[in-house]
Amino acid sequence: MKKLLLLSLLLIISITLLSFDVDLVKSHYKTFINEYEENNREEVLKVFFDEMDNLGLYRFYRNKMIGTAEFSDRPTSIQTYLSRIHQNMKFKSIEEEMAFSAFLVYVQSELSGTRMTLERLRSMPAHFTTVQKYIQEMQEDSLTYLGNVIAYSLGLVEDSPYKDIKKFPMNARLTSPSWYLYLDEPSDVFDELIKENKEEFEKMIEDLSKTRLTGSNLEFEIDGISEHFLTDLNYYANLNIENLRIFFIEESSKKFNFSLLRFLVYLIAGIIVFIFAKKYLKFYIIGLYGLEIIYFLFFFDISRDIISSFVYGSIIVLSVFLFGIITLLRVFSRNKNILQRLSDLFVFLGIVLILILPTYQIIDLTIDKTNEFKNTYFENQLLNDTIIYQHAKVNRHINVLKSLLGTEYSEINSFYSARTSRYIQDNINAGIFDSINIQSNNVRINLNRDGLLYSNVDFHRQSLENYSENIKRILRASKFREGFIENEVKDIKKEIENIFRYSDSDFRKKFNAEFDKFFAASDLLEGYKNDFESFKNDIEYSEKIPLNLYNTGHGTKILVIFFFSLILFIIFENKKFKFVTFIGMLFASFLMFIKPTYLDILSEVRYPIIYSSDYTSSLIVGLIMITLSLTIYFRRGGIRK
Amino acid sequence: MKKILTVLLVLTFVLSSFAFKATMITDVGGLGDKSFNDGTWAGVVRAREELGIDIEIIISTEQTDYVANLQRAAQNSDVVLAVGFLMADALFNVAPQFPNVRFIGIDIGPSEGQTVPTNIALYLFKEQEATFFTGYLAAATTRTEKVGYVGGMEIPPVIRLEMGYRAGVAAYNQIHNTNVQVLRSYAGAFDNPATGKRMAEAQFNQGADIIFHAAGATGNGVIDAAREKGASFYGLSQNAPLTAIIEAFYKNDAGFFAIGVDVDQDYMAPGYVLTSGMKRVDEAAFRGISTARRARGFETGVNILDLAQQGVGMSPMMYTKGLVPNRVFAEMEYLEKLIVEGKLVIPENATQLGTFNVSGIVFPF
Repeated sequence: MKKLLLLSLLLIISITLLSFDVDLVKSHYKTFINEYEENNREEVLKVFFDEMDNLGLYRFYRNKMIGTAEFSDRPTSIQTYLSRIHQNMKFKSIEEEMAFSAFLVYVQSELSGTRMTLERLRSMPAHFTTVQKYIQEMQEDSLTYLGNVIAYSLGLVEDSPYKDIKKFPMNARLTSPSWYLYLDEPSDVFDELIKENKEEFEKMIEDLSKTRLTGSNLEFEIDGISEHFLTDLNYYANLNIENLRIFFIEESSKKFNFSLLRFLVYLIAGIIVFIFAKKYLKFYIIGLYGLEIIYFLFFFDISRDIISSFVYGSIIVLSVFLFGIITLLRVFSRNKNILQRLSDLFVFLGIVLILILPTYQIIDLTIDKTNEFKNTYFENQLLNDTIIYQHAKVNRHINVLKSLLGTEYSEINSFYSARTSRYIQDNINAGIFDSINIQSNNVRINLNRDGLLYSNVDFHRQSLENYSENIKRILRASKFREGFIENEVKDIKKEIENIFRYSDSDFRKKFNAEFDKFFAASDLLEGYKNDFESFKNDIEYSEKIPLNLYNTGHGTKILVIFFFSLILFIIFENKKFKFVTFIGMLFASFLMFIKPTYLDILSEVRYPIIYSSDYTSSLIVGLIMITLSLTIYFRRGGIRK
Repeated sequence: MKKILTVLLVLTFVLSSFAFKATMITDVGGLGDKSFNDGTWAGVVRAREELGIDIEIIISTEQTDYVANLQRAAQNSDVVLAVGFLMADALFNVAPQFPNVRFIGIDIGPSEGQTVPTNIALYLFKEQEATFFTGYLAAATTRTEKVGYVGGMEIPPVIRLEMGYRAGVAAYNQIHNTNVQVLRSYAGAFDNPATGKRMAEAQFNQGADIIFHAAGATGNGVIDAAREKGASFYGLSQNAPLTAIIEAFYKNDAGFFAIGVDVDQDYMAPGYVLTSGMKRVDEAAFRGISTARRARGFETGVNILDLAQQGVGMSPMMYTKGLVPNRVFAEMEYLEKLIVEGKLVIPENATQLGTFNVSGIVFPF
């Protein structure tokens, strides 16, 4: 019975010491998810949504300035950025903080269209630091409390939160006495734990007092006694956390992904039609095609529907690539008249132009118009990525340039200080130079006549040959290095041009402050300072940000519908089907002339989407798509066959 | 019921009283590299001797083994040691999955902006402060004015080793107005002694007489090459006694040497390994385990061990001290003082090396 009481006590202590209300954590977590799903930007998640917008903007600007590639051997994941939002938020309680740290994993899973897992939860920095912080605090507290009582009993400290304990004085000292002084109010739960185990507790202290241990070895044993009584406490504390984690995952998996269900429905319907009504197969395919277009138009969420994106992405990219190549080859094939060649060439160029022509010009998301982005963590991160981090392209190129200039400097330095002085020294040693007088405007070498005589010719030749070889070598290396130096300067300018095109005066100022640090740190770059300055001043700021179709959700839907229709048009020989898919292509082309109120911009896959309401869209791509549809239809479809 | 509870309590007590266990995961160099992995393992073995803990080692043969090995170790250990920069990603992925296990990363640092879980203690070294002296010593000892360098892979700790070495040579050149050149090459692996040997032979043929390696087990080939080249130059058998080697060096006023890395490798070819640039991975491993064993005081986060903390340094040169003039040691002692006082900063990258200038240093003797 006593043991049962002890176990219950440990459970109570662990729950009490965990110092958070598990139910409240669960409640906060559910609220966060609900608010997120309802996109309620004004309540508890206001700061979060603002930061998510900034995260989206950060990736958007970053991609425009330096591209999507990561140049670090260990690229930063979205977990790091989400955790940074956690760090920047102020929480009213540990329950809220704990729930929010798990909610971020829910958000990460949502953004990537995958399920939340225990592994992902544990590896989210915001979550593991929150949990570890509180577990650690709890352990520190309990170790200090019991440690203080033990040290008091051993006569190593004068005060203790619990004094009803036998004294076993020992002649020793503590290396870290602060670890054995509990400064808060006495705790009933710990006192109870000591009372319950008093006999064993005192026996262990007595045994320890009989040893000659001191310093860190003694501390190790004191902590060992404390840990002996706290092992189960840690176990229960961890158990509580694990149970909470299971709740987080279960709660997140309640939402069902209906977009996946459609594939199952298609499959079952396809099997039924194939077995029982084969003659209606073409209607099944047309129906499937129509349903998919409806799905894409009204339900497809490009950032979350990873399966559809993957299926369509891989099929369409491969098919369009093959179609494009075949069309290009047909341009040069035999037995074609000029009209056929021209139409094939147009089809090929049309496909390329649809993909590469900037379709949208974003006005309201240029960096000067997004004031909420200024002076945030994510603006600072943008600065890190563009210049501060060692793997930032500008940073790397400047360092290579400095290294080349440094090598040039030390080579020249070494030539004069070592090789030239050795040449002089050799001549002095050989009795040719007598002395050298250096005055402000005059260098005079006093020579020994005997040393210049022909009898010394071997030395002269050897000495001059060595010296001239040194000169040739240094000139060769210097000229060779010059090419590299010029390339680095060009690369730096190219990078700066990309960055400055999308940087307003404020961001340019911050960039320049970092850029100038390179010049302040080393005089090697001094010669390039004015060149870079005037180059930077000449870069024009882009008042609009150009985007391709595939950079936006709207444009991607159009692209998918268009190319999906095009591929089916080519695959199926049935005339009716060709006509339906031709209508599909025209339909997608006409969608290009409809301007949505908000344009959903993909900052990057697995990152938040940002929205623009002030933008222009080019009609050219729409016209190309219509012309392309008509050309393909009349060239390969309706009339000929 | 009472019996069950009693059994459970006894079981809990028995389980909790099992010895503390440390498991080390080697990098692909594996144990027997006589370098980095062996050095760390020496620290682990020392922990067993002095702290009475249980120890285990898991050898990684491929980089893809890292995650599985770390997970396996974490499942039955109290502390897991991950050795080598290449294991960084795996360590940062696995450690949060085992919050009750402590992890020690030797030569592993976080990437920029990365959060270090509180159950990881990372030990990094200012390697350049050790190899600065090997470079200085090589420049002072060379008779051909050419010294060599063979690296394993161009990863940050190895680059720091190289930069320190080249800075040492540059310092000697600047202070003494000499023109000692450094030949350099990378083997692209830490576990390929044959390539190391081939590269060393090529550098000896190009005129180098001293070669420093920072290449793990690959560097064992460099030491072999120095022994073969040196013995052949002296006209001695490869097993000749140390006295004969030293006499031959003085007689010829020249010789061929390797310089070891990470641990004291002088013993691997006495008389042919001039010195070794050591980083005390053994000390870091022992220190990490000692603190991990305690309930408190685990050195979570990044710990940088430098010359001042004796975390890096040169081997005591048990076999070759007599080959180097006392003045060189005096100079190095003075330079060491400047480094410890923070008056001399050794470059850790090519940019800093490009602007490294010690020509103003004047020895007070």
